Parts: sequence; C-alpha cells; structure tokens
Amino acid sequence: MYGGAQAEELEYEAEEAVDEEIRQDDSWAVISAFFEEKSLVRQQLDSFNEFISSSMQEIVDENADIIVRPRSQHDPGEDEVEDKEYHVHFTQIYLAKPTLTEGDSGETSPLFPKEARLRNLTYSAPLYVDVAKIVRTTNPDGEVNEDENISEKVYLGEVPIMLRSTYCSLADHSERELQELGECPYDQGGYFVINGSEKVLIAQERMANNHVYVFRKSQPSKFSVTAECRSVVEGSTRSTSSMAIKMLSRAGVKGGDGQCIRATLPYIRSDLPILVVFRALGFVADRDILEHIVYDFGDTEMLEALRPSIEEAYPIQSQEVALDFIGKRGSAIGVVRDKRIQYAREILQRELLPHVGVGEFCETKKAYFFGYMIHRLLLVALGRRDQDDRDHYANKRLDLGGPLLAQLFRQLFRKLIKDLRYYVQKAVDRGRDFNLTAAIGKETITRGLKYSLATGNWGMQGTAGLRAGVSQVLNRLTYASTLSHLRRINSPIGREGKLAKPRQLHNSQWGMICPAETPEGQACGLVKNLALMAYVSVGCASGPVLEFLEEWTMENLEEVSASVIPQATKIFVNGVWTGIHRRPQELVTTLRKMRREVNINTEVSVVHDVRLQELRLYTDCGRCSRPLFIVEDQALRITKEHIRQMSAEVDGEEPLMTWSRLIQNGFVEYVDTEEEETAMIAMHIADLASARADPAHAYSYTYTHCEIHPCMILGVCASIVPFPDHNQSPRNTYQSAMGKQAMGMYVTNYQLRMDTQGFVLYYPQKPLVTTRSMEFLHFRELPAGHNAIVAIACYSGYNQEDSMMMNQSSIDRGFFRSIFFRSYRAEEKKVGSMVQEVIEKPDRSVTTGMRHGTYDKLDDDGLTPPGTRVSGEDVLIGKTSPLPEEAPGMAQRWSKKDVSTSLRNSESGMVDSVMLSTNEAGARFVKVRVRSIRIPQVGDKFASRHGQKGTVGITYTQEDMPWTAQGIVPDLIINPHAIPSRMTIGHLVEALMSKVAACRGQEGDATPFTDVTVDNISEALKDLGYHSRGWETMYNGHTGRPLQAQIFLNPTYYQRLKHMVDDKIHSRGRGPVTLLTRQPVEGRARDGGLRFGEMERDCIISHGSASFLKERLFDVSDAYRVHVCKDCGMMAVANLRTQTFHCRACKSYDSVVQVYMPYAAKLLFQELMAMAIAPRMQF
Amino acid sequence: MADNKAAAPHKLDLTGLGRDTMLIKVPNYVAESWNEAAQNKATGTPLARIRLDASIADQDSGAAAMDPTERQEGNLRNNNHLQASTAGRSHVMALTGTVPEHMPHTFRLRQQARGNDTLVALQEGSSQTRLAATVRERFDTAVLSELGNGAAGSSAIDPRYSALTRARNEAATKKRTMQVIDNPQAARQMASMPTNPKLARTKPGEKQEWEHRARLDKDKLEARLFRLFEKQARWKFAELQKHTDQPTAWLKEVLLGVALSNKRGPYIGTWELKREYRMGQQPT
Repeated sequence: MYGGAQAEELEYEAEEAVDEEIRQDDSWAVISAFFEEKSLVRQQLDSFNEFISSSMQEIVDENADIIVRPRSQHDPGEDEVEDKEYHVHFTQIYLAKPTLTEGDSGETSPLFPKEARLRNLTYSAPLYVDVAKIVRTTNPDGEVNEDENISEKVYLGEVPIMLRSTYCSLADHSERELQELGECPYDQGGYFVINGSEKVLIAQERMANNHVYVFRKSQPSKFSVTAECRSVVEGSTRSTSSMAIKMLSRAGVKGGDGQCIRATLPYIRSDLPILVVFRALGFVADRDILEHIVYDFGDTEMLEALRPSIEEAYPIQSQEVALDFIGKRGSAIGVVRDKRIQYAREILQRELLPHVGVGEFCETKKAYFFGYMIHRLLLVALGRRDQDDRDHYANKRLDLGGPLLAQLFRQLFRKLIKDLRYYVQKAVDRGRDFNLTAAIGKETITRGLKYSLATGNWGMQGTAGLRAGVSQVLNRLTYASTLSHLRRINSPIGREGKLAKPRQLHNSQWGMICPAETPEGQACGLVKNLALMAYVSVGCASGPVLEFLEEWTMENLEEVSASVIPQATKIFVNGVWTGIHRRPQELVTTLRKMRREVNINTEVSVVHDVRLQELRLYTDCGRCSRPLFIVEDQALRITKEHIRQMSAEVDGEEPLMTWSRLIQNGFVEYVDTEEEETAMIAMHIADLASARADPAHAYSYTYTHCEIHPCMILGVCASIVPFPDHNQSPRNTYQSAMGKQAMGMYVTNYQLRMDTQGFVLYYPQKPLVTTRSMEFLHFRELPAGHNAIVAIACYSGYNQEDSMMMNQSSIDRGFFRSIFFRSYRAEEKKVGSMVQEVIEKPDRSVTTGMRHGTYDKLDDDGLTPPGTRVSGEDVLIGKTSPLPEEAPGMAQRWSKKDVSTSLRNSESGMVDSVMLSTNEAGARFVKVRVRSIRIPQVGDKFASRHGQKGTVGITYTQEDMPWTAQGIVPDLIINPHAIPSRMTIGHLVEALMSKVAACRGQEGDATPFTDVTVDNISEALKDLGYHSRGWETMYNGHTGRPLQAQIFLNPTYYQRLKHMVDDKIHSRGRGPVTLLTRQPVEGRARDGGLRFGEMERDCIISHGSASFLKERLFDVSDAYRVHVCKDCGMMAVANLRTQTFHCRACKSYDSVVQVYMPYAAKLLFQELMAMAIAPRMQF
Repeated sequence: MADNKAAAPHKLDLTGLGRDTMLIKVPNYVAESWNEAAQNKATGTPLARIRLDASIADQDSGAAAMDPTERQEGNLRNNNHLQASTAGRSHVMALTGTVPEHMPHTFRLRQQARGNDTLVALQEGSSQTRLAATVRERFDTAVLSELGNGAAGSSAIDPRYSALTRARNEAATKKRTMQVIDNPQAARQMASMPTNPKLARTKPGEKQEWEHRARLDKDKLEARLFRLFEKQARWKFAELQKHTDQPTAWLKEVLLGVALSNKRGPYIGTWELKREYRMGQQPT
C-alpha cells in the first residue's frame, strides 16, 4: 500500500534490534491479530453463547422446584390415610443442534440457515430438560416413603439460535464448506432467522446498577442534592430496588429546622431522617453514626452539615423506636407494634440495598454503605465535588442479545412453571396421577421467544413494560450496512426529549462509540454504533477477585474500626463496599499485574480513584472496553520481535504470536471506560519516543497505555471514509448514513437467497484509495462502488444544486449498472378444515375477483416460469380459494375466488427463479424472484464517500464531454460549488491520491491520523508527470475549444445509492380513493394522490388564489353532493330518479336544496348525529 | 478475629492473661494445610518462621518463641512453635514443610489496624473456655515473591500464587452449563416426540391405553382385594382398579362378591368389605 509512512520504511528495514520499539505501522499487525480472533460481531456471539451455556441453566435452576400437596376437599368422617407430597424438580437442560420437523411427514432433519431463510422457517434448536418427580408419602405411622421418577430429556420448546454461534450448525465449518452449505463465507452471523427473516438484537443502553449517583436538583424540587442507588443483586432475578438520600433545599426547609437529610427506602411511604435508619440498623450513638458518615472528625464543616439531621432524629433514641418509626410508615396499617418492628426489620434486611447483602448480619455493611452514600451526598452539597455525570459512559451498561434473551427466557420459564404447578395441583387435588411430559407446556417458550424476536416487542405478550424495536430486520442493503446494524446501540430515551445532553458525544465515548456514525433527525445521538475495537464485557464471577483481596491484606468492613477509614482506601467490588486497604497503590499494581498475566480475568476493571480514596473493581457484564498497548517506563511492552512473530506463519500453522498470547504476555489489555479515567494514554507510539527523548517537554511522564491506532475510534461505516480527518465532521456523519444505501455486493450468495429486495452492482470495483480498516470490513472483497473519473467543473449548467453530469458512453459500457431483485411469496393457506387455497392457474369461468393483469404468463402449475418477462400488474403466482356453497345443491356461478399475487404495478423485469417448497405446516409454499436491470439515468442518485450526494442532471455521450490532452473523458462532472461551503477536503485529497494510485498501480492509504500529507501526494503526482494539484487542461466537447480554467480531473470512488427515479416516478389523474372519506389514497404503490398539505394550503391562501384552493381541496379530492332541508338544516332524503325529496326531520317534501360539500364534511355531520348532536346547515 | 463471645456459665480461666500473642490472618489454603497438619502429624513441628523487622515495628520485636497462631474457631493448634528472628526489611512469614509444594511459601506480614479495645484469644477446652493470651499484635499476610524483595510494587508475583489463582479462576467458571446433544440420531428421535404425539406415544413394551386389561383369576383377584382392604378400610373404585389393573366389569363383579359400596353417608362412593370378611380389630 502506498501512503505517507512508506518512505521512511525503506530506511529502517536494513536492521532492527530485537527489542526495538514498534512503529505505528506495526500496530496493524496487532489489529489484524485482534480481528483474526474477534470478528466484528463478537459481542453478539459472545453474549449469546454465554446465555445458552450458562444463563439458561441458571434460570432453570433458580425456579427449579415445584412442591404440591393435595388440597382435597376434606371428608369430615374420613381419617387421614396418608400424606402425599409431590415434588417436581428440573435439573439438567440439553440443547440439540437446530432441527426441522416436517409438517406433513413428521420427518426430522438437521436444519441449516439457508433452508430456514428460503422456506420461512425459524432457525431454532430443541431444548430438553431432565425432570424428577418425587412423590413423598408419609404413612399415618410416620413412615416416609419416597418414590422418585426421573423423566429424562423432556422437551421444553425451541430456542432460536444465533447464526455462527457455538450452537449453530455452521460452527466449525471452513469457508469452503460454508459455501457448499449455501452460505456466504463473509457473513459473520450474529443474527437470528425467525420465520425466514433475519433479525438482529439491538444492544440496549442503560444506567449501571449498584452505583451511587449524586445529583444536584434545581429550583422546583424540594431537595437540593440527591444521592441515588439502584441496587440489584448480582445474578438475581429480583427487580431493582432503588433507594435515595435527599438533602432538603434551603427553600424546602419549613420552620426552624435546617437542611435535613432524608432517605427514601423501598416500600416505605414517606422519607425518613437518616439517623432513624442508622438507629434501626442498630447504630444508636450519635458518635457511632457520625463515624459511618464523616470518617474524619476533624471535618467540622461536614459535621455541621449533619447537625439538622441529628436534631431531627433526637426523639428516636433506640433501635426499637426507630424500627417502629419505620414500620409505621410501611404498607401495612393497623398492625401491632411487634409486627411493625418485624416488618421494618425485614424491609431493612431484604429491600434496603440488597446488593450489599440480604442475609442476616449485614447491618454493619449496610450501615457503612448507607453512610457512604450520605458522605458522597455531602461532598457534593458542600461543593467539594461535582455532581455525577449521567452521560459518562462508565455509568452505562449495554444489554446485548444474551442478557435480553435471558430476561425474556426467565419470564417465559416462570410462566411455564406457573402453568405446570397449576396443572399438577389440579391433578393432585383430584387424586389423579399426572404425566410430566404431557404437563409441560411445549408452546410457552417456543412461542414467547419467537414472538419477541419476530416483532421486537421485548417481553411477554400482554404484559406491561413492553419495549418495542429491540429486534429489527437485518439490513441487507450492502455489506457494510449489515455489519453496522449488528453493532448498533439504542438508548431507550424518548425521541421527543428536548434534552440535548444524552445525544451529545461524550468524552468518555472515545474509542468505544463511533463519533461519526449516528442517524440525523429525531434519533440523533440516541442510536449509536460501536467503534471497531470496542469490546463489551460478558461478565465474570466476582469470587476470585474477592478471594484475592482477602489474601492481599484487605481489611473487611466488619473487622475495621471506623477511625482508620480516613487514612485508608475503600474497596468496592461491583459497587459493594467490601473493605479497606492501607496501601492501595501496591494492591493496584499487584491486581493489574495479575490481570495482565490472566491470573485474574482480563475483563475485570481496576479503577483506583485517588481523589475519592476508592478502589473500584468491576466484573459485571455490559461494560464497554477496548484494548490498549501497555506502557511501562515510557516504552511499550511489545517489541518488534513480537510483531515479527505475529506475521511469521509456519506452513499454515498458527503464528507464534496471536491476540490471546498478546494478552497473556501483557502487551495489550482491555481497559474499560471507568478505568480509562485513571490511565494516561499516549495517542501515538511516537509520543512515547519523544517523551523518552525529551522528558522535559514531554506531554506526560507517566504514560500507562498507548492507543493501538487512533483510527480505531471509528465505527464500521465511518471507516469506509477516506481521509475523514480532513473533512468537516457532519460530512462524515452524512457519509456514514449514505454508505448504508450504497449498492454493491451485500453477500456472495445472493443468487441462492430470496430476499424481498436486493440491490447488486454489476461490476463492483474496490476503491483505489482505501483505509486500512477496510481490510477487516471486507470492503475490498465486497465493494460498493466504482472508481469514476470525476471532473469538478461547470460545463453546461446541468450539474447545478448537487446534480451531476454523467457520461452516457460510460453508462453504455456498464458504468454503475445494477440488478434489482424482488421476491414475491405465496402459500396455500388453510382456513379451518374446509377452505384450502390452491396454487393453480385460475379458471376464468368459475373464479371471481380476477386481477387486472394478464394470467397468460402462468404455467399450468400456476407459476410463472423463470425467464418470463413480466411487467405492470402481471400475475406471478396464481392462487384460488374455494367459495362456500351458498345453497346446497344449487348451481353456482362462482366456485372460487382469485387470491393471486401480481407484480407491483410500477415494476417490470424478468422472472429470475421460482422456488417451490413446503412450509412448517406442510403446506405448499412458493417464492418467485423477479430481476430487473437498472441502468443509470437522469434522476438516479450517486454519492462520493464524503457526504457529497447528487442526482444525475443530464447524460452526455463521450463526444459531448470535455477531454484532456491524453484523451481522458470524465465519467462524472460535479459542480465546484459543492466543495467550499461543505469543506470536504477529504474528497479532494482522495481524488488526488486516487490519481497517484491509478498511475502507480498501487492502492493509496487514506487511513486517518497518519502522516500522509497533501504535499506528499502532490509530490508523487508531479513525479508521475501530472500537475501536482491534479489539474488538467481540458477541451470543450461541443466546440473543441480549450476550457478557460484548468479542471480538477481525478478518479474518485463513487457509490450508487438505492434511490432511483424509476422507483419514485409517479403521477395520477383519477384513481383509487379511501373507503371512509372518499379522498384519494396515499402512496405510489397504491397509485395514490399527492398530498396538498397544510403548508401548501397556507401558501395558496396567502397568494389569494381561492379558486385554485377550492379545486385542490375539494373538486380534485372528495367533492360530494348532499340534499339539505332548508327549514331544519338537516340532510334530507333524495330520490333523484323519481325526483322526490323528503326531509325526515320536519316531514316536509319541499324546501330541499342541493349542496356541494366534501365527503369528509358529510361524514363529520353524520358522525355528530350519531352522537346526538344535530349539525344544521342554515341558509 | 478472636472475640469474647464465649459466655461460659462458669468462671473464666484467666491464667493466660499475662501472655502475649500475635494474631495472624492467613489465607484459606494455608489454614487448611495447617489444619491438616494438626490432625495428621505429631505436635512440635514448626509451622512457619516469622521474621520481624525492628526498623518497621516500633515495639520490641523478636520475642524468641511465639505462641501458636490462634484462630477464630477456637481450637488451639498443636504446640507447633513459630520462631521469630529479627532481620530483613519487612515482617516476613515463611512456611516450613507443612505446606504443599504448589503453594506460595513466603508471606509478608502487615500490621493490622488495632482498635482501642483489648483483644484476647480464647481457647475452647473440652469443658471450659480459657483465656489463652492477650493479643499484642494483629497481622495480615500477603504473598511475597521469593525472587523480589517485596518492598517495591514492581516485584514479580510468586508463580505458585499465580498458578493458584489461575486454578481458582478455572474453578469459578460456571460448571452448570447447557449440555449439547451432538448425536443427530438422538436429537432427531427426541425432536419427533414433541410435535407428533402419535409418534411419542408408541414406545415399545409400554402398555397402551387402548389395550385390554387381562382378567385375573377370581381367587387371585379376591386375595389381592383382601390385601388392599387390609391396608385401608375403604377404597374408591378407581383406586382399586389402578392397583389391581383389571377390566371394570370383572373387577366390579368380583368386588360385589366381597364388598359393599357405600351409597350414602360420609363414605359415599367408597367400597368396604362385607361384614363377614371384616377383621375384628378394624375400626368401623
């Protein structure tokens, strides 16, 4: 590859010391190693694998038991014979490979994704479970008799399988085998196939649990500062239990008391003074309590801030009283004191901060945590610390497919257990035995999972809190759009929210989230995309970390006296304060070292917050992290030698150095957003070298990490932009959106697929100028564009306002020619037992409701054969549905109704392929694919890779185009006005480099943040005998005279976008109207009208053209005539044939007049009348 | 770690009050191996050697013979002695002999926070709790690499400890996992069960619902009925049928010979033996 760095490369290559520091170019070897091991959809696969392998079993285990006793009607005289108890216990679960059971024959066979896609099946695997049924019989004489009966591998339902996950049929297949299985070897999986359509689970962003957040509140609120904690027990099913501590604002203070601090506890109706909570936890003495909050008694300011709170709780001086105080405010009213105290105790034990502990004897830890929250609140209240940042990415977690599915599966499994319990209870009550295999509902899980994945409504049908849009149809427009869709993140905040903050790019998103790729408009900044090297943690056990801390002199909170806390560092593991440590630095170094040697999971993040004197460790799932080079003593740990080992491949064997070895050897490590705050990261490797060379002027003398490559901050779509660092930033955002509409090769197996829509470019070219990241996006293998020769010139005026002139001769040679596929499907539906649709050629003599289009193209089997040219509303699939007999025995005119499928009215093409198969139920199922060739024409949309889009304004044949001395004729002429205001310098640099690349026969390197300069490129171009800035003298094609100015004529990579005039062109005179209002229907597909909207109406009103306005809104829309009674003003009955008019309201036969009004107005009147309101038209 | 929770009804033996002791918190794996040693080996073998550094500790260091470490559980270790000497730059505890080879041997001792309360070590004897000693010093332990000097954070971690944590990590990975049925044949068979109840039902050897129940000899059936009525005085017909597995008509015929059905009263719907067959002691 040709680029800026290669010049120096030659100099160095002679000899390199083994331990020499690597250079920026070498980091590409590291990045390659990363993508070798972690594909671009790794997060999806990892989280799904985790769900299947352990989460499912955990969910089954946590609700595994059903115990049922007969609740039989007690026979009064009968003596208790025996006491039976039924236990149903779920144990091991099993998953088979995806299978398919044919609906008609009952045959079972392994299922592959290709078949699922083609036949509209669900790619899912059966789930089985071992169930033990234990009948415990206690005889009257106390003898216990146990009868255990284990049903092995009872079918539970079907679980949709993520493609290319460990449980997929495609796992462990070579590229060649994949091809034989009808898959695209470049397809990376990470999605599901539900009823034949590909579904992606979009990662959902949420606030992290178990963090203490302190926020200032502004005026209308009663409180000035609040500290919140949403507490969730690690790996539990319980819902979050939030608690808050609030400090009254000065305005909120009533009467004499000062700014008290109150706590809101779950299930307690009113706020409690904080000291009451402490006393209820068993800390009674003021000093004892203050020790838990202030730590340092020298801090009089903080003590003073607590004074109102202490005074407020003065009347409550013992634990009993405090518990009673809380109990009184609980949900139960009118219970005795003992019960209240017991209730309060339980609330404190189970509901208050459950993540700290729900067992007994957690009071000390809870009191410490509670005190810590107050401490944090006071720090903000006293102005010593800023409030927490809601949008900081360390406070965010991503719920990927795994956690989302786990949440759903948990709900469904509980439902199944509930149903099962009900069934068993009923059986037992009636004294019957029950059959477990029959009792377990097979459909609950199958249907529930399928429903949510198919519709995107996350949660059980009919339950509250349904989230929409979690699962989406995978975008298959172009390969990059597919990749980008699989790495998308959604923040479920209302789109209407006026708040700009959550939408803005936050500093902490560096390297995790692409700064360019986000949609414009209402979802801007709420829908995000992962950066290329971002890694989302799957979660690991906190046990080993806790054990480690225990062994490295952490002092447990129970053993510690509060007086030592100010000198020590607090240790939090997943938000739980577990202990303190007196030498945190040492501990942190050891922890990091252990992690770098993978003695502790690499995912664990170690955050040493020196200012707060805290050490926070996280092992939970959904954290964003990214790999960084480790720097020690201002030098990278990795050296040239390791890079060499990475590329050294010994005949097909794994190279010596792989990504996992890089991690094991401590050359790179994953750093998450929160830990990043405590790291000193060098942007370039060169920064380290310069810091070593000249420490006095170094930016930092404490580098801990170094970026692997700064261009890795970009996401999938932004990585396609060449020189994005030369563009105005919104342009990169525009291109990121447009790149998803570019035509190219979306998968290599498109001929085997039956997508509802597909765009394929005839001769896709790989770009002359590429970024290094494209290698991992397979953009060269599956490109989406052409290298066009582009002149930036005004030539005839047909390229104004973002239009462009195109060379018709180039078009004739195949320039930007593309294919458009559309598939139609039909199946023989069965309604009830009688009505069975049949795919056949409808017989005109017995079939009613025949379509407009021709049936001539159908074969005898009712299908259009491949190779048939079809257009307009031609019928593609003939299908009839029998009509019920009206009167038995009577001869009937019509015995069938036509339910055929015809081609869309505005399209035409050739039948490409026909697939005949059966669906899940065994009914006949047909898909027909129609292809049409789209040749660029005036009105089609094209764009460069810099957000410079335009439509074709005119096509000129070669002879009318300007030419250069060499005889080069441009393919495209864009307008120079497109450049200055948009500042897409990258476009120009790309063009310049493309020329060099074309002449040299080498790809140009346009990776951002490298040392390529325009001067370098100009130099090279000059050496090749061109003008250094890419200008050419050109001659007018019409006149033959030289053009006055030199023209910037260079190759540039252009994309053809999916918006084409042929799909948009539309006009209508008369046409269909809606049934209800008789106004024209909407939309081109239905041959609808063009809406004359409110704004257009305003224009015409202001213009004063009343007649035109009436024409648009009335005559051309829903003009209607009604007859109105002049006397009463109500609508009258008119019989125009007999010329009789009659008003029903006033029973008169004269005085009826004819009035024209919109049908919608007549409808309104009638609806009003239906509501017993009489609208009268007065004359 | 030792606390005064033992509230013996009798007087506490305070003879150990004068004795000083050190309390050392050791990692679980060390404690386990010591426990093992205490159970297996003869007393007297030293467990570990402690070296206290005078420059760090401000108190008189290096009392010649320390008492055995006492732990919360209360039972005193065998009389193994820890020997202390003063040298080096940090307090060090070196395990001797008793610990398996794969475990780290050297530990750094770190003084722990001492509250204002006096700590005492209690010893639970067979009959009585005895105050063994007052705790003079509390130490916490951390693994010290034998290679590095341990003072600086950059020292290498004891490879034995690394191995230990690695093993622990492995142990912490979730073991309860989904099992994958790889055998497609088996999977196929099972998959056919759910959707097709007809296929699922035809298991060979199992008696089908629609098959006829075989009639038993009258004598045999009667005998079986008598046995059942021995267990329980009254039976519902369905229950009897379940236990005897007889055709309804045949069972009813035989049953009518020996039993009566209760047509009314509290036991309606049940059968009980005719009076002549009833045994004397049976409750009525």
